[in-house]
Formats: sequence, structure tokens, C-alpha cells
Amino acid sequence: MKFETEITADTSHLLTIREQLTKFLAEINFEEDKILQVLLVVDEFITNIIKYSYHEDSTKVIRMEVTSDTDQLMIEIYDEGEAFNVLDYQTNTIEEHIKRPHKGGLGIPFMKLFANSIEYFPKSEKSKSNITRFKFISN
Amino acid sequence: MENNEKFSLSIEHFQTWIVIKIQGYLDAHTSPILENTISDAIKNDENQIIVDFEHLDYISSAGFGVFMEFIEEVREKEGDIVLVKMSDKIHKLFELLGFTYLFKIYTTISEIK
Repeated sequence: MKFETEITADTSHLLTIREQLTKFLAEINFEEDKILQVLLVVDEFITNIIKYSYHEDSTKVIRMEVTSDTDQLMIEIYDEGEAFNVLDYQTNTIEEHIKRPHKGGLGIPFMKLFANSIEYFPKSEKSKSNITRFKFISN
Repeated sequence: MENNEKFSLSIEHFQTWIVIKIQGYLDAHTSPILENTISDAIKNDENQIIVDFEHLDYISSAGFGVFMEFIEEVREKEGDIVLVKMSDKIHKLFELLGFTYLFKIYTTISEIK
């Protein structure tokens, strides 16, 4: 099954994305305990795109494609902003955040913890969009 | 009551504690509302803070970040941020992330001493 949606780059649309994704994941009987983890990854990533790729320019567009098969969910997020490769960021681990609590910096550790794989394809002559691909395995 | 269509909060008191009841979706869009409320409480020397999660449906890293931002400050002032009435779904997330080691979490307010 496949599902596509797009929003403009405004954090007020995060709820819309989560609601649409929750509905799709329920329809495909995705493991219930993992739904929240998928929502967190998508929420964190889109928040980062809005802030760091689009610098909160709410005229810009973010598109999401979700594809499922028997035991795997693939989510591809398309943006045309500045490159933002999650894999390039070395951030504190969640354990380090717990030892020395402070605001911010949890989003990328959440993505790396909850997604089974992350791939990044920067825009090129072939594609005007940066594409970030997350995969999740349903137990 | 502070609110928008996706998140709201209200304030009550229990003994020496300020109780912040949060409702809806705590994400990057709505977390500044809670951040400002806790910041104002600390400025008013209200360092014993209970956050009631009973009607919270969702929390993102920005929501966690609000509690991480203030927890050390209130503890240095001999206060605390205590979390109560969490749904199973959100409690599981706190456990999975290890945040149950950082925050005191109670089922009811009356358990707090």
C-alpha cells in the first residue's frame, strides 16, 4: 500500500502529518507500539527541515511518500531546501542527555534510535529534491 | 488557561506545588507555551512543579526538551519537576528512552510527598 501527502513548511502542520500517518499505519495494521516511534521520527525530521533547510519559510513544500509491504515500512521525505543529512550530525546520545540534561538536541538521537535505517540522497541533476529515506521493520 | 487548537494547559496548586495540567499535543509548535509557563513559575520562586499528563496525547523531543531544560535548575533550588498520570503509551516511551531514571513519575498526585 502507498500513501502520499504534502505540507507547507510550518510546524502548525505537524499534527496534520501525524494524523494522516497514524490513520495509514492503523489501516495496514502496523505494530501498535511502534506507531508512536514512527510518528516521532517523522515529526523530528520534518521539524528539522522546517528549521534548518527552509529556515521557517512557510511558502516551501515538504512531501512525504509512505510505502508498506508485509514487514517493512518505507518513508521518503522530499524537500528542496538546504542540504540536511541526519547521518552527518554527531550529537550527544540520549544517555548523555540524561546525565547532563539541557534543552534541544534530542531529535536526531530519536531518529537514529527508532528508524531501522536512514538513507540520504541530495538533490542533483536528476532530482530537484533532497530525499531522506527511513525504513522501519514491523515485528 | 493558555491554549491553541492543539494544546492547552491550566494551573492549579496542591500543597506547596504548582500543578500544570497539559492537554493535547506537545510538539515543536506547541512546546513554547509550556516552556513559558514553567519559566514564569521559576521566576516566581515556584520551584516545586507537578506536570499532569492525564490528557496529553503526544510528546515529541521538543516536549521532552522543556523538562530537560529546567530539571537541573529547579533541583538546584531544592525543587523538582514531577510527572503524574501518564498514559501507558507515553510511559512506555519514557521507559524506552531511559527518562524514568531522570524524572520522578507517579500515578497520582497524592503519592507525592
